[in-house]
Amino acid sequence: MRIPRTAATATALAAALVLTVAGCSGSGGKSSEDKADDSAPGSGKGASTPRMKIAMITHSGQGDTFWDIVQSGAKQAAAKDNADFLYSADKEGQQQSQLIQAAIDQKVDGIVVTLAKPQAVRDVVKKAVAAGIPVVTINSGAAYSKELGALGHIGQDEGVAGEAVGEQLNANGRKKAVCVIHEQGNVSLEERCAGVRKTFKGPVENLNVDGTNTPAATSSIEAKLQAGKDIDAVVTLGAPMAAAAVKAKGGAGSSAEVDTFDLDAAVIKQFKAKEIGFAVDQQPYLQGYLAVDELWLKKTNGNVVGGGRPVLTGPAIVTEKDVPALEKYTARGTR
Amino acid sequence: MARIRTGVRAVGAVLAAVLGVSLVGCSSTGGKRAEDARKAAAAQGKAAVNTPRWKIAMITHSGDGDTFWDIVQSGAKQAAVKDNIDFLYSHSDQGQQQAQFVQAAIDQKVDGIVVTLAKPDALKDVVAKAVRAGIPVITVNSGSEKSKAYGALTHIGQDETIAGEAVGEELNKRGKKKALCVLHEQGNVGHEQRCAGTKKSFKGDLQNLYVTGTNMPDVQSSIEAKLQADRSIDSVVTLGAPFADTAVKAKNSAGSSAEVDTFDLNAKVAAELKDGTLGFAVDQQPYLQGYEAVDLLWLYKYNGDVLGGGMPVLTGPQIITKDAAAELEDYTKRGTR
Repeated sequence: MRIPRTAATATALAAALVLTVAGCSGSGGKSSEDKADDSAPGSGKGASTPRMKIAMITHSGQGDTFWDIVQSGAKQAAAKDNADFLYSADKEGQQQSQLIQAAIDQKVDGIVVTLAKPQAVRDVVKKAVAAGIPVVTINSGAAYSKELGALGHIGQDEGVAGEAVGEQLNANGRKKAVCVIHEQGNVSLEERCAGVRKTFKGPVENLNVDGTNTPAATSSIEAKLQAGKDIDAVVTLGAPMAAAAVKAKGGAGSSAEVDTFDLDAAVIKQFKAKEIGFAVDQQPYLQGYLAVDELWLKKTNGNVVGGGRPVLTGPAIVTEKDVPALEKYTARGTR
Repeated sequence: MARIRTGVRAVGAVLAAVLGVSLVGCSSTGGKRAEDARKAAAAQGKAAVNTPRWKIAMITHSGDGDTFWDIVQSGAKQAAVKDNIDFLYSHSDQGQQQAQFVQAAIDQKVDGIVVTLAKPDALKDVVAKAVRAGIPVITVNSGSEKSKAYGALTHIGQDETIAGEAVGEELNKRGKKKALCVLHEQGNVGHEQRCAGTKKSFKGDLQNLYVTGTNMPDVQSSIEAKLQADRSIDSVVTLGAPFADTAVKAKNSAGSSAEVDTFDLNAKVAAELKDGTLGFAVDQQPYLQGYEAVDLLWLYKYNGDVLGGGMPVLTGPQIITKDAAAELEDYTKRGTR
């Protein structure tokens, strides 16, 4: 699940249905301009199957670069699969469901959708399925995917990801951890911390902070580290919170290791500055890429990946030694 | 899990000792099925990437003439076309020979290796060697439990227990009360897992029946005797496509009305699903095993991505019933299902 970056929520609504034609000319968008030559989606025509049209509709707010990465994966797969790729997004559930309806009206050959707001989009997703349009869910809503009639779900299992974090903390010799929850009541965040607790051999304490108020969050973490000098690991659940934790650690004079969920260019910088230990990547590129490719496989050969279970794109543990390779990828917008 | 079709497939006298290099695309090679596939426009198209031409070798434990592996190859070749990859295929049902082929791929300095671990002990050292040489390895089809320990990026295949559970659930849905699970190869762990999985989720009673898979008349009479002795058996689950047909014969001569369901899919099974002779089939989607293996190596080389979150990527089970069979029949004919 893509944890909303509440602090950075843009006010404008993304209501435009952006049409991107994949194929010979590669893809558009700001991020693609920065790409190195070897990274642009292909110049070929891809598969010889008839041209198909695939719509992706996400719950992303404006300006969230996570979804640029998802899109670059989707566009690469679309180029290979001779598909038109259409992207639209809205963080309001009702708007998102209208965009899905628009895709149904356009009679697309496949729909990729996020189920961050399952109640708001459930009816329209069922409508798509009833209209004979195959649907793949990504990123969020694994628990609802099957019942809504989707072919499969592609994303990170938060419990599994948390368990991987616990194991990595053990490997790093940590003894006492704090898990920073920046959005109260967010089930996915709770699942991540519960996963950590399951595998970590030391105690894990959850710390609720206000993610919409970074200074307040920073001082909450700082107070925690000052009160518990034996805390030697801080796990944050989103990349922006990692920066707050690094600051808090400095303020508290603590020597705890800061580790985080999600990866972005800022996290890469923190690796280089040796400010964080490891990051857990859910590989957004794979979420876009595999979703489009799954729809191609279904249409051309009746194949469905996953054996009835979610296809997991994460966790992938990233450490400092991965940075040289990843830097190139984050710069071109594919990681 | 190992694809073992003992006794059914004629074991070819000629061992496949040649590392078959097939340049994908127009000139793709191999097998009668592959010819059909070519005609049916499988594995066509042009590369849609700007990545360099990488070389990927797949080395399997297949014996000669097993069409299952033709399907795996057609998936691999399609992905190779899209990904601008040279795809090399070799196989041997002898573990030592298979290991030599893996060594040959290392010597060729390929950019990626896809390997089956049906004989893990024979392959352990050479897979470790490939990983040490910096060649990314993905395991497919069999050896899921060894994959990580041997240093592979990930494993792609069917989980046999999960597949069995899906069968049990489907039997429940069909209102079955008493089932027979026909194991045609004693000591095959994957087969035991399939029946155990079925038992786990099936609400009715399930019995295992061990038969000698290498002797088809014997298989038939064993099933027949069982169905005659117990009239309340209302479903027979076989663990390989060729045995489904035998079970149907046994059922007919026993005058039983049990439903026959099977693991795996081939053209005959698809036809029999369509005409109602069989109830359902459980497909592990061999096309996906080849396709995803090549594509995931491309994703790793291009973007450092690894799929699966540390767990196997499942290509099965996929339950196939009468409705889907008509569509799939065309695909089985062109060799992609």
